[in-house]
Amino acid sequence: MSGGGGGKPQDVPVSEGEKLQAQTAKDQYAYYQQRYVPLEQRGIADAMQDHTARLVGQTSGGAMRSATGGLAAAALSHGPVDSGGLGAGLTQGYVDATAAGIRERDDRRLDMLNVGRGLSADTSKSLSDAARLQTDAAIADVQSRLAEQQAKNSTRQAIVGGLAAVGGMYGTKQLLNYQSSQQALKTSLSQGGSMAGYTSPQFQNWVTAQRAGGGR
Amino acid sequence: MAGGGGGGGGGGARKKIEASIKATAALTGSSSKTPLADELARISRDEFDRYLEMYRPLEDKTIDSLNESTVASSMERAGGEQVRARQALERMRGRYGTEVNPTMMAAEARQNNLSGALNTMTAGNTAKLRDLDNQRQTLAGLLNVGQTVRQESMGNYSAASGLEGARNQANQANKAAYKQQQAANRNATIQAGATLAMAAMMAF
Repeated sequence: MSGGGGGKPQDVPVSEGEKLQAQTAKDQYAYYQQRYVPLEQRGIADAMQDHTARLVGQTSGGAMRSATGGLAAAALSHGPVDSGGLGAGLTQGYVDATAAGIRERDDRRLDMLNVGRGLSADTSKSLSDAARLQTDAAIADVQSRLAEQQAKNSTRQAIVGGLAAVGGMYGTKQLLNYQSSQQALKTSLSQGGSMAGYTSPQFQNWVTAQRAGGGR
Repeated sequence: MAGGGGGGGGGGARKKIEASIKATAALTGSSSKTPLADELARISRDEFDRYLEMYRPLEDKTIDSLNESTVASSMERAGGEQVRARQALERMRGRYGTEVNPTMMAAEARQNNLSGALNTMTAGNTAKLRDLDNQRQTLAGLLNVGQTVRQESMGNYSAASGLEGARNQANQANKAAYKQQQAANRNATIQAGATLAMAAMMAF
């Protein structure tokens, strides 16, 4: 899949495992939302309730029933009866039941809060993972664009450098041509003076004519 | 490669998976290179919002319950139970036809008043102790909850700071590479210009 030898690189294909894992995650999450979120809601709704009054009522009724025998015996006696003892027992039952009811209620609330804590902790972790992946991808994206830009700049540099080299070569060639033509001219003049110019028939004739005419 | 994923029935499932991934990509923006991470981030935030919606009221209610007191209701109840016990005794005496003379009734009334006052104070004191006991236990549970909230907050800060650091580091490296590239461009341009100038001087 590398494209071997200069072709445009293809995207890495999505593996079957990745697809299956993504789908499994979706299915599990959907199932959790469908089946367990309602249970959480139910647990929270229950934890919001305070059943203390019901517990107190049950306790108070039971205490009264259990005291009935002793109260009947006291009523049958002709002596003074301290009904405060019965009242104290009933009150103690109320205080105990209230405290137990509050404890049970708060324990239920704390249990549900721990469930909520787990939820919040999981969301923090998954959010952290997601943010890391997104930032890494964004960094890689910027870096790859920078690398791409650098490659383009390198190409541009190569073109400019190449043009400059061609220009340089042209200049050198021109210089060499000029030097060569100068040299040729110089050589020609030199050779012409000693050989061609003064030994030509025209020049010889001119010299003869000059001599015949007596010169100037 | 998973290698086909289970024969003939796998085709439909695979189409479903691909459609789901496409739907995810469409949902999170098709231009994104990390559609699953985007969805994870979105779901995570939704879940946190659900936590806020469902659990925060319960947390508030539990915290507020630390200020509850059963002292007043217990003392009030003590007075009521005293009357109730007295009425029950009177009903029993009426049922059994027990006669009580005025002197004994006066003595009973004095005794009941004393024990009633004592019961009321005892109820108040006991309720106060029970309240303290309950509040301590609930407070301990809430402090544990608070610690995990703090740890989670610090963890999130730490993770976000790590991302910030990685981003800054990448930005600095990118800027340095960009400057280096610009300098290389400039140098190359100057060299090319010098070469051309030399060529021109040689040519003309």
